[in-house]
Amino acid sequence: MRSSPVQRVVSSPEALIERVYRRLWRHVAGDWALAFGPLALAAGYLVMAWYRAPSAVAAVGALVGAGLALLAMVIVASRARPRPLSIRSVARLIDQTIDACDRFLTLATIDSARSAEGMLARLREEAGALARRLDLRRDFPYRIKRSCFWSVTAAAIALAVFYLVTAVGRGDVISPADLPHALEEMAEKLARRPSLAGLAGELESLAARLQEPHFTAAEKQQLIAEMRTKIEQRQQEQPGADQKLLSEAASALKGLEGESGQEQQQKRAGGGGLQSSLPERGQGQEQPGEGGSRSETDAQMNPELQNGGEARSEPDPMSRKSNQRASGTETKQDGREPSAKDQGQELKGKGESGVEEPRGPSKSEGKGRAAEKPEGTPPPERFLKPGEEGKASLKGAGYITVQLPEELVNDGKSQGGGTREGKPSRARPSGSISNVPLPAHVPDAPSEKQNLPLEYRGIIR
Amino acid sequence: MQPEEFQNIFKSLDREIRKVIVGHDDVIKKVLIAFFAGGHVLLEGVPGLGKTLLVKSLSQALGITFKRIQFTPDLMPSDIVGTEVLTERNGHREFQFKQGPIFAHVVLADEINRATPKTQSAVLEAMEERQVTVFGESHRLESPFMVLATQNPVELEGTYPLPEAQLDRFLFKLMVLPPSPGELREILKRTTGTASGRIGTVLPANGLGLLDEMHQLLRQVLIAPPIEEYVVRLVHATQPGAQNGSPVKSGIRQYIRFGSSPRGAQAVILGAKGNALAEGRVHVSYEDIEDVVYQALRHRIILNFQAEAENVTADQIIAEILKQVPRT
Repeated sequence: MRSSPVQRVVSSPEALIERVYRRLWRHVAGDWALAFGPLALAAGYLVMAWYRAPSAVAAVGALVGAGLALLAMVIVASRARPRPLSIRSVARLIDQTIDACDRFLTLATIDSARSAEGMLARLREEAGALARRLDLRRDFPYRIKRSCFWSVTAAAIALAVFYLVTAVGRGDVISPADLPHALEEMAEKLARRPSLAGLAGELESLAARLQEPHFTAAEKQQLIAEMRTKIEQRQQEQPGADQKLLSEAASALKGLEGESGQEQQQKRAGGGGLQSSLPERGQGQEQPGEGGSRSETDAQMNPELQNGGEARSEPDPMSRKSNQRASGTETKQDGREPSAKDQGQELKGKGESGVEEPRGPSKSEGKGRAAEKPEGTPPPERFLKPGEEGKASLKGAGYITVQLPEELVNDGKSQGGGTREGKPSRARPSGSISNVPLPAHVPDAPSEKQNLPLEYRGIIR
Repeated sequence: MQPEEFQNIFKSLDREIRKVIVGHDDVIKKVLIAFFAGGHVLLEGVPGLGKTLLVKSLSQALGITFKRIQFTPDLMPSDIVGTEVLTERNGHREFQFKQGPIFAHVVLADEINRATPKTQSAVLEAMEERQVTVFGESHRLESPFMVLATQNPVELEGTYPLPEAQLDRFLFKLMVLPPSPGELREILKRTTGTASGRIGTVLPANGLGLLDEMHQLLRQVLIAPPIEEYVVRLVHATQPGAQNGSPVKSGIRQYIRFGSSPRGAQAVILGAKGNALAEGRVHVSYEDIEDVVYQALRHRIILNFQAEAENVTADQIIAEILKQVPRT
């Protein structure tokens, strides 16, 4: 007759009890490992994530996740109380499993020295016979407890909460750098419909324009808003099958517009890393600790400036203008072109004829900003007083700065300045803007004052 | 003696008694267990249920001496234990002890509650000490010795209920219940016809020595300490004042005037051992304990007036205790 696995291994019922006891201990250890392992791993990972969190939101997410994992551990520990394991309880379990009628319990607990030997031998014999019924793998299999599933679920929830909070905090929204890409995707969608091909092209050109470095956030926002208006108009004009696609595009543009605006607001609210002590909008007074000024924002948005190795702020055109009025001199801006926004603001100050209306110096304007000399650098000629001698023995040297319109500068750089389709993006003047001849240099001549035509004042400083 | 031998004798006795007793399987079994455990049994039941017949059958099957004492109010202690009588032998007069009916292996104390307490107490010493003292001289009772007392739960006028001290001396109190219709038909068939069951003696000629061995074997039955602890918890739970560590709710205890004495625990374990041997086992299991706990404790739990007013019985109390006291 084939002996059972237990019979082969176990010589006496007491040894069988011991073996089952060890096996059940391993089960208990496995239960604990499975019940707390996932949670502990998740908590550890989240604590590490908190320790190395790149942002405050990520840290909060990690803390919340770790807290959830710890809470789940406490709940699992309180709910999944393992059965106290002892030789007595194991013997009783064996009795129940093979219906041994407390034989193993008696053998495991009785004091053999005070018991009748004959009775004990007989009991051992009976228990040994019953032990053949026992198959450890069959009768004491390891089953994964429900608490283990709960633990894994709770750990997954904790990690999910962490990633969710991190994603929301990071603003899993389209970043400004991704705006053109998003627009191109939208254009591709629209281009699938022949009727919307035109709009698709416009969207692509908008995407290309947004990639141009000299656009400020406000301008980008304005361009997006214009595009959105166009799409909405088209939506109203062309109800039908394209309605859904158009509304999608409009809402997407609205979202992009909002994000662009938010980004601008964030930067204004001091989200930027640069602190400027320069006066904002030519008010002529320093505002330390206010965060980035508008001009600083422009500097940040302008890659040329960012890559130029010197990210410094410059005063607003308004302040520059007022400084010009105050000092009567023009300032060289280290090769930095005025932005389109500056130009736009400048144009706003003009009448319909393009002539700048004379303004009186306001209280806040130009409080000696132009007259201040930069410290630590040799005084340029523009700071020389009349009669002083500068480089090349130029006495009272004065100069003017001719600031060309932005389009011309860009055209000069990019040889044409058109969009991808080769279409001109803006109307550009055909002729030269400035025709003011500079006077011939006369060494001993008094400083010359040139009266500029009014219409050139806006473009020649 | 081997456990199988014990089991065979037990089964034989049971079979023989059943030849004349219809039904009452549990009563017969428990009477036999009490006999081999060396205890006494109080049988309670209305008249005519075969109590006296059961005791007679037991003694016949065992082949040991049997005496019956009908307890009446005018029964005197000397009528039970015996007395000194003046006798003349070889021209000399001397007092000689004349044994009473208590000097038998099996004594049936029929309607024990009808005797006066003085007479009832005469049995006390015999039951516990297995000896009687007459005129200052102790007389040893023969072994085995067993008192089977019966009492009638009705017609209580003019009776003297057994005091708690005397009740405590009985190992078991067995309730003899009326037979079922089937059993009654069988009783009629056996008793109103010509055929009559004859009980054969199970034990051989030297049966007394064998009975002694059986007594010894019963006490050798193994009992695990956890099971002993269980008995302790059960008995402790019957105490109305027990609070510490007792899982029993106080709702049960409000009906108990006195709980079980340590004799109750002894009775449970001895009864369980007898039960185990009767089933061919050499160890006591939890089932053995629960099988005998009613018979061992019901007459040791003294209920109060509230329990009587609310018709709460000792068996109900025990059942509740068994529910509430965990095995481990």
